[in-house]
Amino acid sequence: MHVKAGPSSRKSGSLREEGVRKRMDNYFYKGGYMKRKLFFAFAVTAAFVVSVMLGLTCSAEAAAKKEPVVIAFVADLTSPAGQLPYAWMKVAAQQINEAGGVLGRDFKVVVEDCKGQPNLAVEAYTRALINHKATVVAIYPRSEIVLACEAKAGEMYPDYPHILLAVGAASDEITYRIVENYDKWKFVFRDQVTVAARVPIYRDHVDLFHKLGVKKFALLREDLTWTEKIFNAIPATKYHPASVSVPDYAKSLGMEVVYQKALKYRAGMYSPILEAIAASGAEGVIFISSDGNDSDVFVKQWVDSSARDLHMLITGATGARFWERTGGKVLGVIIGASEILPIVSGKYTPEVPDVLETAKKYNLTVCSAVMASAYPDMFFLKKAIIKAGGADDIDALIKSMEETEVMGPLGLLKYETTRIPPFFHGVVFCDIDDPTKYSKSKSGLRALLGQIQEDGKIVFLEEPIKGVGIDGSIDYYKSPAELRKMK
Amino acid sequence: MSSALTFVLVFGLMMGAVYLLIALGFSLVCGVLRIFHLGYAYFFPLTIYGTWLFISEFGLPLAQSIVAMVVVQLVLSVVLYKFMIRRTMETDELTLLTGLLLTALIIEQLVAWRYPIQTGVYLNTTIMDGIWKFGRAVVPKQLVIASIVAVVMTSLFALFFIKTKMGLAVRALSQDILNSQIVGLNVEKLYSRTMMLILLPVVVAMLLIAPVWTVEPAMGWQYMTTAILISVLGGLGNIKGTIIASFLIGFTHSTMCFLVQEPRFMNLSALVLVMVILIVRPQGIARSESLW
Repeated sequence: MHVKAGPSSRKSGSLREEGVRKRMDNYFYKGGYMKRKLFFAFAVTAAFVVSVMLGLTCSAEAAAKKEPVVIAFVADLTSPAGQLPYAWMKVAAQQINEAGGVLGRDFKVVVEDCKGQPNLAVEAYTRALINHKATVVAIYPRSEIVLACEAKAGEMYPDYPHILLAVGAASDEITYRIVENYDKWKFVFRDQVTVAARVPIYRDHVDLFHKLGVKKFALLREDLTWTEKIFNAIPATKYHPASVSVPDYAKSLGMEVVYQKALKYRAGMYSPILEAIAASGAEGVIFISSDGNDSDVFVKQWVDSSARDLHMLITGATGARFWERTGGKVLGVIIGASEILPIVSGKYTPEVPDVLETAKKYNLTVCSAVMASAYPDMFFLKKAIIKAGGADDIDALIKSMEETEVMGPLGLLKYETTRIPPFFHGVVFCDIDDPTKYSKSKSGLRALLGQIQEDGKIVFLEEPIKGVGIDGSIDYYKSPAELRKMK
Repeated sequence: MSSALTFVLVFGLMMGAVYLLIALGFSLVCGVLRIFHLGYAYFFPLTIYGTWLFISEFGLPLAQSIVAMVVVQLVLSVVLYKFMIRRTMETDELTLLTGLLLTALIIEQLVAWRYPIQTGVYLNTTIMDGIWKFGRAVVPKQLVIASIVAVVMTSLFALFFIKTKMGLAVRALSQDILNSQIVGLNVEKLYSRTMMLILLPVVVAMLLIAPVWTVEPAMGWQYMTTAILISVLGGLGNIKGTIIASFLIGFTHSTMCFLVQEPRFMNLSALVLVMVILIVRPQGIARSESLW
């Protein structure tokens, strides 16, 4: 509907127009415009000066406060395997900060939970850089997750220069691309020796079964990159001899792997596998899993299966409080790798506090996986930052990390600088016989094996590393059936 | 082969029975409230960790802790109903679903924060330790007991819906809300009670299977996925369909485990089964318009 404007509105309209015109005339022709222009110019200049002053003040304040060096930790916190290194990293940061920090700056550890999923890890990694402005992003522990984040890190590095530290992940592929394109990937470091260097650990497990008189056994592994390589033969390189596969090694000792299977990560259902193992005539089982939760469920189902009286060795990352988590069902299980402490600490580690004392003070569990990585990594970073003269120049920090070395609880922590895959930017091997030196052929990694006996007490089944002073013997072993009868 | 078939049969029955307990509540909430209860995932961790909270923080014995946990769950259910579901179910379904999902996520995060796996949470709800042999099949006694309890409990639920006045009222409500109101049913009260009722099978299932299966803060999603699959396959909200679907999925899982010897195909096989059946019968195995 169209409504005509009435005379009054027209009148008021013309009055308004007249007023506006008058004000415009005053403004443009009586000097108002120029005055306003000058005023705006003055205001803009003043704002600029004030903001510069404020900026300078803020920078000065920031410098005075010394903003912390942010270490972001992307980990699977739904697993004990992720919680423990995080706890140790926080303690390390606290110890470093209490000792004066790094060039007057504190270490701040922020955590991003990736729940063990590569897609969430990539999101977490992005948040670590954009939200937390991390100088170092540490990722723990699965190689699949590190590889997913590494690709994202490569995209973001030009805008967010930082260090990617693969903590506890051993996959060789992590460092391949650094050799191929150093300028693009030089910020990636892997604090583990290669997969090949880990093979002797699993030979130790077979040796233990051999000592127990086991002729036939089952071999189970979680279906992830690192376990696949351990079970297969790895060809020789300049730096290590060829490794035989675990089944071939068993064969050389007159033993036989009668059942072998790769199990889905977080499978949840092991009863059929355990029944098949019992039917295969196996006398023992070796299960390699990096997930504490998988180990729990496996044990719960093992005690209620036909395989309940077989020798059981679970290794990888069974984590703390295995006894409590399974309500004691873990009785008789042999555990290794992360649970037992081959500590070199004390007089050998002037730059890293004594781990046994630290563990006691902060009520933490000592596990070899963390002692070889997350905890000493923090002291390594401190030393590298000091050597680089700060944490802001990432290129200088990278160079410094390539030159720094620190003695950790499990031996020397130093990155390989020879540009040969898969060693470049991975930690060097430390010598098992003298952890203060490094070796081109022998790995210092060794997992002491122990058995969980009454009330969750661990007895060691083999001689430990020289000087550690832990009593161990194969004679202490009791079969699971025997231990259950004693209950 | 015969040994494998025995295992398939025995474990199929046991898994089916346990799945029935896991899915019964979800099916009921779909049938009565007509909502897709995405918050259902929180019942599972809250059962275990809620009980653990009373044991570890207040020093209560197991039985009392279970009672206290059930009370907390009942109160939470009523609060959720009054302040979230009732307000949004008819006006803003998207907000409701988001709210329920967020509730489950918040509870999961709280549990993960207070009781991460390394805390060593283990509820000693084992009724019988050890194994029984059925032919060549070896089964944990605890699972057999869980299956028996599941069958008994489902039967009681069925009887409740068939024989009692309240059961009849809930069934009427599941068929037609408007006419139920016209004939004088107190819809609010029935909804509220249904929210409490759906708790029981989940609580019983979790307490019985905790000594044998996975316990971790994020376990709710895995169990809720099973519950959703069963409810969809059975016909949303139909208890008869839920019973049939539970055993179908149980047998599919046990076939993958003991015949194919590949537990990693458990979920895949169940998904394929559901898809195939839904192609043939889009409404699911049973009519979804009625609870029974």
